[in-house]
Amino acid sequence: MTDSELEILKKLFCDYESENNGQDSCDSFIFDNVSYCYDDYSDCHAPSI
Amino acid sequence: MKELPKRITVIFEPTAACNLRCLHCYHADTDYLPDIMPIEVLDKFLSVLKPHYNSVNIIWHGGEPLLAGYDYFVKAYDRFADFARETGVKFDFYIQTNGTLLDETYANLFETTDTNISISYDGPYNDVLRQETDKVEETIDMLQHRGIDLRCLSTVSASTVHHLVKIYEFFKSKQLPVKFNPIFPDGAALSHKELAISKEDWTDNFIDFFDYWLDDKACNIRVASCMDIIHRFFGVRNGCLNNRCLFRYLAFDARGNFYPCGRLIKEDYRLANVNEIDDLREVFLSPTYLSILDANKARVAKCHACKWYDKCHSGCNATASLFGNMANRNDFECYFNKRFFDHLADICAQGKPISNPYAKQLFCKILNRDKI
Repeated sequence: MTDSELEILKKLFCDYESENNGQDSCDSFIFDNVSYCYDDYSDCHAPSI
Repeated sequence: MKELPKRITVIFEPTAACNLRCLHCYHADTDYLPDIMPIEVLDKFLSVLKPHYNSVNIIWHGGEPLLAGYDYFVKAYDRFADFARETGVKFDFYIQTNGTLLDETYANLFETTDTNISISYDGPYNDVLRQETDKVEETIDMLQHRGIDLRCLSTVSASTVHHLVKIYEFFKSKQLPVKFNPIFPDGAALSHKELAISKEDWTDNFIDFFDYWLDDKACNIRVASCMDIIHRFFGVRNGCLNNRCLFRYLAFDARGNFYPCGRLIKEDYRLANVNEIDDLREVFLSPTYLSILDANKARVAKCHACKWYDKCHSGCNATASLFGNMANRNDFECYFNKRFFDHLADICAQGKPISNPYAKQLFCKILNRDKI
């Protein structure tokens, strides 16, 4: 990737994040001594409805 | 300026072939092509990760991914391990499978590679949409007998939406964590309109079920759908929910094509082929991806004034696309979220006691309290 492409990409990402009040909370949770990651497949892939 | 995340999740389809023909399958219009991803394509995929990424979630998906064959998976995991050793890139593995081909040999492989297993299984109503229920249940028993953690993805149709509590109690009795998904209008489901759920039916029944779950002090399983909505309500963003997927998720098919999402593996959404790029980030500059960003921006602009915007962030891009147009809000998700957020706001305002241990723990964590 060229430097200018990288700059364009950064700008696109920043626009997206700011439009969305960007925050990135990869989080985990322990219950019954089992650690669950909220950023994993089971929580994310399927429809959000 | 903020850097692109160094972590990415890739829905990795070694084949689109499938040995079942589920009535709701959203892949039906891909014709279940029998191609298996050549190992050279996987090697090329690894090479395009190198310039930027240091953490990658691989979600084996399909079709039925295990149709790629055991030898394929052994070879693929060796490639991932070699690449991780050479570059320091960390991989986490997940698989979504129908469970019919998962035998002890695969179980050994997934155990040694720390692959998280999720089975597509609808519990007491598995025969409504799927087939080979006995075989799937045999697989689940085998995995549980071996002490392997697994979870189930359970699809809800018009035939089963009124039985969510019964389905939940079934999964509890088996100690199987579950996530419920309503059927959505794509692929084979378009030919079975009798299975479609109205937004009112889904929302009414899910709220009733949620209240039952919240009161259930005997809950012994994780129900991701309930926990997701609590997260959403408190503005916690994770996974691909709440319009957080862009730049963080991609799908990759057996022919080496990239798409924005596993649910959008369609020619209209093809971003690039792995052989056309040297750096994975290039797919985010493809004309198709730029159109997606524009559509996303247009949808967000329409949602900004909504009082719940800071919770749903205009929702799922794939769902918006499937229900009409990515540039528009989709009524199904919008209706569900608004009703649910109103309901949760009432629960919080009334200080309703929460008995479910998972819900309790989650509320405490999110609200940073010792107890509620």
